[in-house]
Amino acid sequence: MQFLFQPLTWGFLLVGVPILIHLINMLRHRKQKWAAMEFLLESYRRNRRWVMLKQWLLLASRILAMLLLVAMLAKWVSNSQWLSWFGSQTTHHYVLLDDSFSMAERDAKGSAYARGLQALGGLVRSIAGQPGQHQITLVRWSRAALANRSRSDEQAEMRIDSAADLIAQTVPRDPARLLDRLNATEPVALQLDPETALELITPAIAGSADEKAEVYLITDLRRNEFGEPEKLRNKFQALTQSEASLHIIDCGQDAGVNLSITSIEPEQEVWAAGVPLMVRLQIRNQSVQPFKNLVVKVRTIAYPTGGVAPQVDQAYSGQISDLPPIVIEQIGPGETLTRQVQVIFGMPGDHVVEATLPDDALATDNKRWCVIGIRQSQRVLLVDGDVQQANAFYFETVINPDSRLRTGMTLEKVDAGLLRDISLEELNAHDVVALLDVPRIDDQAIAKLEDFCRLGGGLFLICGRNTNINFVNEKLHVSGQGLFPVVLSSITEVEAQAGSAEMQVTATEHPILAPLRQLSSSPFFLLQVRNFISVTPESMGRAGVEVVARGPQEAPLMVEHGFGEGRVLALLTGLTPDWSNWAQDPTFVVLALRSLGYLGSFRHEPTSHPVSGSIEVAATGEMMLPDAEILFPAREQGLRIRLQRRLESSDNGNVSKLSLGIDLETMDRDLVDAMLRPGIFESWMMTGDGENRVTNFAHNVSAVEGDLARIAPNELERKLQGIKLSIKSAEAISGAGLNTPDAAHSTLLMVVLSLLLLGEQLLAYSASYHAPRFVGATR
Amino acid sequence: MPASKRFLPPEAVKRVARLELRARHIVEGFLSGSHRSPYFGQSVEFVQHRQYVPGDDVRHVDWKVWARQDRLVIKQYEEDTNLRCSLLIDSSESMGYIGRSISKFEYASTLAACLALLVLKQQDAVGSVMFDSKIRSRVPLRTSQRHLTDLLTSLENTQPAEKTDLGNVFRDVVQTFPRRGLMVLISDLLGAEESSLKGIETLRKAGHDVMVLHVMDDDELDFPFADPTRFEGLETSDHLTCNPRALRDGYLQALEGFLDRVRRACAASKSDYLLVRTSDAPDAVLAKILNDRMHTVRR
Repeated sequence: MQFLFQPLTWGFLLVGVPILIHLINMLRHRKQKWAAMEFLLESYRRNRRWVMLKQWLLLASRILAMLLLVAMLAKWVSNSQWLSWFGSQTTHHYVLLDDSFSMAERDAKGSAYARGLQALGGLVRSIAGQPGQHQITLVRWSRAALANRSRSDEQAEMRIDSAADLIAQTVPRDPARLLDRLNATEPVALQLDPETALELITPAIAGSADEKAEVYLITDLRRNEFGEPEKLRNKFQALTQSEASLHIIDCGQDAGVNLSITSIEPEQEVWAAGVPLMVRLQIRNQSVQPFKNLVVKVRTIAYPTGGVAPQVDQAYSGQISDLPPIVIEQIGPGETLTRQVQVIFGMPGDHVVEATLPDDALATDNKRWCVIGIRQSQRVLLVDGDVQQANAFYFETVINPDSRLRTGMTLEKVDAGLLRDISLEELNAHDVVALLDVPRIDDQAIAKLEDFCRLGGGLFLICGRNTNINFVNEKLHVSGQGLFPVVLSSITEVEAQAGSAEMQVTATEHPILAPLRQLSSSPFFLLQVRNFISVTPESMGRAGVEVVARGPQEAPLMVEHGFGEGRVLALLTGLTPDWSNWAQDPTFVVLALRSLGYLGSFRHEPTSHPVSGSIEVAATGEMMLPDAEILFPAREQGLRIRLQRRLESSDNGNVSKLSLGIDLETMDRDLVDAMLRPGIFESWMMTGDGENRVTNFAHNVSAVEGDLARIAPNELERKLQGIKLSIKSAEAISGAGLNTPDAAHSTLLMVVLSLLLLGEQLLAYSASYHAPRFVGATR
Repeated sequence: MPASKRFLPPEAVKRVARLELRARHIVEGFLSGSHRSPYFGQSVEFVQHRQYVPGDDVRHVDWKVWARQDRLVIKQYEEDTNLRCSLLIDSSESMGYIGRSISKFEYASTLAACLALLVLKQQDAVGSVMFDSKIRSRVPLRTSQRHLTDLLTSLENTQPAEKTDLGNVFRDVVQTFPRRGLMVLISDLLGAEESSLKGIETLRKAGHDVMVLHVMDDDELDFPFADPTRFEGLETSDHLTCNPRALRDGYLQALEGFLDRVRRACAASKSDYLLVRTSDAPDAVLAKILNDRMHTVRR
């Protein structure tokens, strides 16, 4: 039995009052000498049983009336089946709570999520106060999204079981307990949409035709979720076909100032120890007003291999270094600015760069991380077709200019013939293979190079006087299936034009040479191309082929395309002086370093993952102790969650794997919440030598969710015209609930009480408890 | 308070003075008075002739008839005789019930005193019998004005006690008053019902003119009790704790049945019956009785 106003239940003690009065009346009587006892006794004999029965009925009715009165005042609520006979059919309330991180937007009154929870509280209380049988199912959008991600062919009900916080639960005796549990939740760092949650409950509603379904969407009505509601319309229509009532509870407020770091990425360069690396940041003003004097704090967290240990009580286990902040004078509304910051990590390891914006309305998207896997050096295999190794010389000069300068690359030179004999493992130990004017390689070597590229390796093909066009077209291009990106046509000789100021070479937007385009004057003004191999126009139209630089007459001079996970870059002119003077031009340094860095970057692990991504680490060729641990990002201050995991070893023991993904059915609720936090996840393994190996994962929020622009309720209604739904504010629901608060069982109780009191009066009259008329019956 | 004041309120006395009690039936009396007698005697009002039989007083022979018709007939006249009024007053314990004002016994005594005064004022004889289960006191029939004092003293000295048994008592009364007269029974008739009704019948069979003044308290007739009450019997050891309102209807129904049976029994025996409430003024009751009798006595 459940009451909205528990303290009033003390009033049930009042049931003792009628009993007490009855007992007092039995004891308190006056004595009367009486002559006509004969008639009195006759009346008593005749009416004894009936009088007794009336007395007991009267006492019972008064006790019951007292019970009903107290129950009515204390607002009795019950979900028992028999009460539903008096009321309506079972009503199933499906509450879909938006817990995307835009709900964490704060203003002076609190967050949108807090308002949503207050509205939920009002809603639950009003449901508890309504007559009839009520069930409630509560699904947070994040749980629906996670269930949907791990979706199989299972039935919808099964998915709800794992996703819902409450599933078909009768409205609890004490709603406060339920609300306390929900108040402990908070928005997760995910971009979410209502469609997934609606899709989750639709089969359940359709399968419960005997229930009346009420669907509540508690959300902040962001434009990125409701701006294009065509999919939403379809979902709503599916629900209305199941005769479900739709309610949207708006807990959002007009957007305040919100800045987001939408991206933090290292450039596709050489990621090697001691080599400067540019990290690109994108900052977006998501509000409708400009923001001035923005200071972006950047810091690096270094995790030198073997030099750090897990630190549970610290935000990061690595060594934190602050970089000079980025100052942005002004960023306009809706504007996205890109800034670069240079970082240098002296030691190999999974290092982290963190960027932080000042506090604003939405804190979740103010931080962003990237993990940069810095290696000792990038290995480049040079295969020079020139007898004098002239091409390799130029590369060696660029990559190893001086013993004090470090480019982060290690060169190895081999003959073309060795490519046939080299194993794939050995080849894969290199990041880039450069074929410098190689006339021909055999088929085995081609096959190995194709495998090498498919696995992410980079291939740099430089043409020249030894280039066999037919061989390239037949063996390397292979009608678009091979390594070479384009079909070569013929060698084109460029006539020298003395005194011509026209640039022969221009760079495109491709990232390899893009930095050169930012210079005020073109750096290619001294570059002269004497010969180059033209390509067929048809092959240039092939998907995936990009031009990096154009030569004379805007002919493609440097082209690139993807092959498997790797990249193939082709320079259609030679480095020897009879073909071009590029090798002697300063821009060659940029060309060589950035090309090799770019080609070698496709083997890099992703620098960041979206929040809720899984963690998978594989250690190859090194013995690892069987137990590993994962340190989760801390919520604010305090200890981080440390999760112990056992490694999975391959059959031969060469590979040890650590994996962790969100599984709603098996994973603890708190662990799921921890997995949904943005930040750095450190996975720690230990080698057989007792050395720590850390692999970091950066989980970042979606930049889109930081757009706090809202859709007005009337606009949404207009867009969803034809769908019957109500939109109410969270404030209205928080106070009074969605329905009349007095509904409870009070109406039913009042009716029963009125009938009972009427019956009691009749009974009392019948039992002669009313004042007699005192008119002589006998004269 | 002296008995004369107690039982004869001044207002009642004034009114009684204007009243006259007439015996509805023919009763025997000592003195020739205003009441018809069952005996034919010397009177001015001729009634009938009767065949002479040996032993008749020859003074009553109508010689004129003998001269004309040659047969001896006796002239018979209606004889006025003085009234012999016996007041039979129930002094059983049930008569001691006191309602809102006075007890039934006191009320009955007042009625008896008023009647005695009335009778004595008419030069008629009046006597009284106080009884419960048996006769407790007896005042002989007298016509003397001073006799009223004896009656009042008897009333005053009697306290209600014991049970009622009219059957026994009236058998004694019939033997005590062999000459026919007016028997005024003032009682609540509570007790053995059958015996009471038989007692009244016995009086009638003895030739008495019987007038039953059934005295009941207002409480007994209306049963106005509301609060839980323990009723304890006056003439019995019975008691009952109850909610009176719950039993009221049943009680009144039983009482009505009883009164109905009494009325029918009185009607069957041609006895006058009047239900009297203790709240009724005694003189008004007497006025009603005499008024009723005025319309029915003379035929």
